[in-house]
Amino acid sequence: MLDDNADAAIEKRDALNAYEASVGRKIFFIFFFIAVTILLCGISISLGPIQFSILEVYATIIDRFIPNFIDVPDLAPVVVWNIRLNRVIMGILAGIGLAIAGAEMQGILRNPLASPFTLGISAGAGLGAALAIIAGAGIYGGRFLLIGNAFIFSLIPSLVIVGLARFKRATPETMILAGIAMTYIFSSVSSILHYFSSSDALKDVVVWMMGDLGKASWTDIYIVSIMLSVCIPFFLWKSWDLNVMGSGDITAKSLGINVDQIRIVVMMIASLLTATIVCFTGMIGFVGLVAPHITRICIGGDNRFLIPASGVFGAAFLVAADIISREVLAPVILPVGAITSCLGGPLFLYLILKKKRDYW
Amino acid sequence: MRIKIISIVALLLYILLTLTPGLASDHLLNIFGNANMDDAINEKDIDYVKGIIDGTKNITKLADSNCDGKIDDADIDRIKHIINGDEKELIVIDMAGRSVAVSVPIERLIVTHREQFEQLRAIKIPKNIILSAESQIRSTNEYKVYFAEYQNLLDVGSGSSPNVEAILGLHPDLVLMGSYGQESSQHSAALDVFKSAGIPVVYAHENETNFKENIRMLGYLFGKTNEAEEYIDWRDRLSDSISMKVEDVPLEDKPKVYVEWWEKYTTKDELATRIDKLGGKDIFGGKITGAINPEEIVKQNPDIIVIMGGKDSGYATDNTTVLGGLRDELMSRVELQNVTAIKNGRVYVMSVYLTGTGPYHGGRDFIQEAYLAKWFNPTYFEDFDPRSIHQEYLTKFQGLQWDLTKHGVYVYPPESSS
Repeated sequence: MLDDNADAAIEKRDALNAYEASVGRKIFFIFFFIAVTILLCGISISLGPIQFSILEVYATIIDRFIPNFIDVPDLAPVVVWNIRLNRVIMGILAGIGLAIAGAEMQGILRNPLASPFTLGISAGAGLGAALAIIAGAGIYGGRFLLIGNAFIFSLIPSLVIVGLARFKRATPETMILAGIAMTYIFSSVSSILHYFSSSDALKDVVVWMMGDLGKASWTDIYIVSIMLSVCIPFFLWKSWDLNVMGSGDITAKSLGINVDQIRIVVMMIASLLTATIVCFTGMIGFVGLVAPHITRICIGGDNRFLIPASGVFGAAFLVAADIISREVLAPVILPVGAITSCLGGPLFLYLILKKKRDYW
Repeated sequence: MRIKIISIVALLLYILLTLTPGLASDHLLNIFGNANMDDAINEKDIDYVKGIIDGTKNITKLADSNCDGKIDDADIDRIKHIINGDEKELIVIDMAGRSVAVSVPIERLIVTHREQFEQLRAIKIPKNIILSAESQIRSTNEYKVYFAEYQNLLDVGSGSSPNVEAILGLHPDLVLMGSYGQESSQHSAALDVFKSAGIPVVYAHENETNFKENIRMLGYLFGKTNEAEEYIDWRDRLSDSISMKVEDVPLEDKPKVYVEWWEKYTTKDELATRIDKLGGKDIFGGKITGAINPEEIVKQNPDIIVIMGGKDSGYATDNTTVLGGLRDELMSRVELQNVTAIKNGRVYVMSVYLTGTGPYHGGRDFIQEAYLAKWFNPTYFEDFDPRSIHQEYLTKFQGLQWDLTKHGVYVYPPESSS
């Protein structure tokens, strides 16, 4: 009997050690990619047609907070604060937001293909942009014509999906199918608009749909930051519930989780977050799909860690893609959405082929 | 069958051209009968054909005016008829290099691109022979006004997707098409149908180099050779006057220029902007098209910035808000405040409708050139009035009774303060 107790204690200790090691790896992953993001940011804001040293760049940043403390080159404040830094910061915020929104959608729908863009959000935003650019029609006018249209129209597919879930008690599979249907509907209307557009307007729409981090102003960055600061704590708060929902709706309900309500609320907030980002940056695809999967392959599916890890990975990924888009054919800037697809696809394929066990 | 023979003969003559030196001028008139390969069909061609028959002149690709495979007195007779204007058929090599036999005079014409309406109007083609309108001249505000007389015509689609059945129903003598949209499957399918129906198709699109060939070809097809030459001469005189003044500008005096094309921080190359040709220095060397890093503009520090844009501009409005707004927005960009052009207020906006209707924004790009030349080096173009040139073009060559001093917004700042 004493031996049995000792064996049980040893097993328990081994299990705890293994668990702590697993958690340690996950935390390491998060901090590692925070460090990578910081490094990439440092590289990104140092790169550009006008040559500044890394020290000069950081001196310029410090100079904004502690004026006259350090000498900075004449053009540096304008270039760093109005061209480079806002682009990099928007890249970080958009990367975090899209990746986390993708992780949440995959979690609540229990579908590896769920992402902000496979559920009709991109098609909705594209239609809103097409209406603004081609027809000049929109909810708001002036500068907010395109932004307002992209935001409002990107929410419409989500509202339909959520409405189905709420009033028709749709299953996750049904919600995915509804998202696909919305994608087709919005894409077809966009196609008709494209057909009647001038060549210049058509090109504008296509370019917008490829994504661009360079158009973000500091006001846009503040708005996205506020949205992230509201959404991320909520997602983290609900991460345990998402873990349980991963075992199935019946199991989750039996443990007292209001599955339908959580699904609807998380879906809406993830859609809102995506819409906020997309209306300022255009459509940057693949981050919301690939970042959570790559993170899941590395650290598993525990949403308590998956959500922040996806976010930091998404940030690093998008900042790296932006560096490539700016430098590969400088001074021409390639669409960052095209670069994320070029990078993300092969990387994802490599990881899937390399992985020895199922991760989903 | 006849078309096949003509095509084979044309091909053989092309091959022959590679073996025999021709007398091609810089702006060849590509119509069979132009034996001496210059820019007109006249008595000189008759003399040339006689020389070929006598063996004193080399055979040229266009000497066989009737495309029957031999050069003889029949060709001389045909050339005479062409000169007299009573020839019943012309065989042209169109702007896509295709040999096409067209029965003349043309009384029922289909036009598939708005640029062609402008070209035909410039050489005074009678309006009543045009049977069709193109989609965009009926949907864009500026074109609705600019091409008002064509608004009630049947919409036959566009060059990339023509409404073939509608075109066939109109029983045209000729269909004008262009290179725009020719990659589309509908375009090539339409060509096959027209060929089956025996309707000749001539490509009449204008690019950076073929303006004279295109206009002369149209002049011959529609019996408006004098009008075509008048238009060409007018454009040549304008182009020469700009070139002569630009030649006087020393290299060190030429301003650095950035042209922002339609979208924020997007530019186009020299082919579109013509900065170098017009006395400026493109900060991107004239080689870049697409989205560019704004930092490069800060680094290069242009002396002049030109914005091309303004969807809601042109003759259909007197409101300078749109063009003025574009200028104000660019001048307020924080990252560009140290740029010389902004400090000195040398930021200009040009409406896209000033530049023309063609896909290369051709057709009217000479007006773009007039304004740009003046903006780049105003002291060398003091007595040069682009608006008068624009007015003369509209009145004399487009038949429009517009008064640019009273209506229309094409550039900003407006004329009096440019």
